[in-house]
Amino acid sequence: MARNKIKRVSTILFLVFFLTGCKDAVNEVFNQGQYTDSDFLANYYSYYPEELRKNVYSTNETIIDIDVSDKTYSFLGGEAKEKALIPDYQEGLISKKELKEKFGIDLDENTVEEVLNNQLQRVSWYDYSKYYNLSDSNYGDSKINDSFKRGYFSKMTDGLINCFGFGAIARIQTDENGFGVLFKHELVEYTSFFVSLRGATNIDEGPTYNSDLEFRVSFYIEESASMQPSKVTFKMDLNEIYTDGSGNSNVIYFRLKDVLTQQQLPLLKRTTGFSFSFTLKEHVLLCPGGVVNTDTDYKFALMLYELMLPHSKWR
Amino acid sequence: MSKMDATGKKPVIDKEKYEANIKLVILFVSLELLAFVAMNLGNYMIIFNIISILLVLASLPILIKILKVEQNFELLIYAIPLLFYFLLILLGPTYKVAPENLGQHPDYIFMGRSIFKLLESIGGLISFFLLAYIIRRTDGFKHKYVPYMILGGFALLVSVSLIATLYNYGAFYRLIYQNMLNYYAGKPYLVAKQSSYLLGFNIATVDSKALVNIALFLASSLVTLLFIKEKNNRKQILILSGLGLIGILTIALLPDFTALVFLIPSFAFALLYKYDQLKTKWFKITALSILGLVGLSIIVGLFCAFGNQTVINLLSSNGFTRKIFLNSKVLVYYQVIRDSFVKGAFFGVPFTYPVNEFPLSTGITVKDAFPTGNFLMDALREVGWIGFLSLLIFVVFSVKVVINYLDKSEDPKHIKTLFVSLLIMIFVRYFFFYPHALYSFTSEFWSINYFPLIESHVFTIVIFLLGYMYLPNSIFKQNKLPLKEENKHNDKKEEVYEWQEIK
Repeated sequence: MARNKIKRVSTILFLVFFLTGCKDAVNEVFNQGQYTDSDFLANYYSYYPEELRKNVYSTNETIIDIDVSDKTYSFLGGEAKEKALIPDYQEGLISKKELKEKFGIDLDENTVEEVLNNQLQRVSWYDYSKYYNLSDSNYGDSKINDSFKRGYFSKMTDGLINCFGFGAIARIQTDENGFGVLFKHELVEYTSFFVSLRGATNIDEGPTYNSDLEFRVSFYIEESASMQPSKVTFKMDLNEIYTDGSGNSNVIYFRLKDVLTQQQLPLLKRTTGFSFSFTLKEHVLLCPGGVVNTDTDYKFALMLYELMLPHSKWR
Repeated sequence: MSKMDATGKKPVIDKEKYEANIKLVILFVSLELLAFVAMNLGNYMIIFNIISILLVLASLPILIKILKVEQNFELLIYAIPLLFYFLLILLGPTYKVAPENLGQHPDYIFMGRSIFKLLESIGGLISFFLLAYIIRRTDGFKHKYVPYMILGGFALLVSVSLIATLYNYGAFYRLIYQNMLNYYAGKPYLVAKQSSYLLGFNIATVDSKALVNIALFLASSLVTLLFIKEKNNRKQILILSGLGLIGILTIALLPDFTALVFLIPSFAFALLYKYDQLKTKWFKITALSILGLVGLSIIVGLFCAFGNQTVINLLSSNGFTRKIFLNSKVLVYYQVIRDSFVKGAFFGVPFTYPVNEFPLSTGITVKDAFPTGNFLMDALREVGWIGFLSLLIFVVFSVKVVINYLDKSEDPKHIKTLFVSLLIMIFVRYFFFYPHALYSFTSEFWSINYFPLIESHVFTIVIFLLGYMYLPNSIFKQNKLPLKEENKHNDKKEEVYEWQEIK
């Protein structure tokens, strides 16, 4: 009898210590105030998961140059209607009901042409991101949503696409080497790409200048029975992006089938990780004429607000 | 055998058989329901409320019979303040949906409940009270299962939440990760403020106070240990205090030892009751002195609320009085009191007024002043002075119900102590940490889940317990008390009474 009790108690204790070993929610903890410091230089985030540093990805990399000169918008720009919502509706990704309830677009009363021509009816990217960010878009599976909500990277999946007074809380500040993230789920369906960002410096007086940079987003595909590990990198030249104007951010949005070939389209399937990096190409004070100004201690950073893959499916 | 009616025909429905069967069904389903409510199973209070309403409707013949036998008009008097509070919730603006033209503004608070939702919540509460009232008076009902159901429900909720918390955070995480934060939905969130919690059928990330709240309710059952020497009830006492240990274990593993302070009132009551000190002269004098101090504090508080500089300066000059009367929590209460006297705030602060027409009396916005974390102050803001006083009167009447229960109920002493300790614990906790935003992880306006009292599963348990404890004086008058003696194992025999059971 006593032996049974001891067994039971030790089983319970074992379970407690076994459970204690997982600590899922505290895998990634930070000191209070870390990355939200008043000192600009203390806020650079540069974490890369070890997995993403493996050479095997770099040796099997596909680099795709994407011209985004006509795909870059202001976060409050009203293009979301014509660039995203109506094409999404025409592809059956969103319903008439959804259009009406979320954006006030009534396709029972108006034709698609009338809606597109109605200049008074604008849908900003800010409105769009409220509904199609990664945290909220997989309505059917709360586990997938929750995985986008956990961790530092959740700053880029929460639908906040500009500062809006939140300051450092809203964004990820990174240097040219960038950072990476690995997910527990893999991307299986995708239609479009959305990123919101701006530039920033620690120059605290004088006029502000926009900047040009080469921005790179890499998608990591893990090894599987049928596939080698690989990496697909989108390389984009961003010109005249908002810099040091904390209220503004640039949105880059494109439909993948518009920029990728039929052969390239399936390459992103089974993506489980991302990384972001950039090269500053032009800034009046820090990189005049494309040459790094070594006479100044001022630093440049990229402020990333949001990554969205609207209507994507993960498993 | 079914009875024949006067014409010799067998009635379609045999009334007695119907009542006997329905009684059994009610007893069984009510017990199940009680456990489900305690653990807030699936976060489906709407379903439990509707089932309870249906159960009460089905048992109307029995209820009418009980009321006839007991000639219980006191019940109506007891219920009137609560019903009035409910009525004001139905009519007041706070619980309604925000008018479209207002949009989202920090100076407006609308809980966005439809009239159906409000009726369901209120109907559920009334039904749970009546169900407890009925089942307490029916024979064949094993009353002893009530504490198991309530505490068992709480224990299941706490156990699952504790396992999930240990899984996600590890033991003693509030100490290990002190001043550290992680990110959830893009927001920095102090690890020490979080825990995992069974909400619906999901494990949610919530304020650790949500888990501590229920763990404390559970831990209050440890008061039964004071009666461990009672041989007849030892098994039950061991089980109940075992459930209480789950609460203590939860608090210890987080850990949140300061929360244990909240156990003091419950244990103080239990000790006083066990050693029959509640009716002694010294206790009465102490209780009256404390009540006097509370009354005086309220008067001083009212002076502060209306900005009487002499009183404020006097209180500020002393560290102790400054901490008591001018702390950030109490300042919010003052704001609520001030706003409640503004023209048009008779039935709650008129959130429908445009901001400029209804300026707040200080710089504290509605968002910061509501919810206050004190269920009475929240009632004042939600439904105004009449609603607040109605709820307060109901609380005072309930104290009388509890005293009556302690004096006259035939329940064993450890059960009486358990129920009353639980009620004291809930009252104290809801007075200081009414869980208005425990299930949200940020304090942003749109994230606050107001968790109104009428939708709280804990409040439903309170109402059930009050229905269970309620003993009208009329039954004692009718039965010429005392009917029987009990607790023969006690040194000092106590007169206990029972009511006429409805067969």
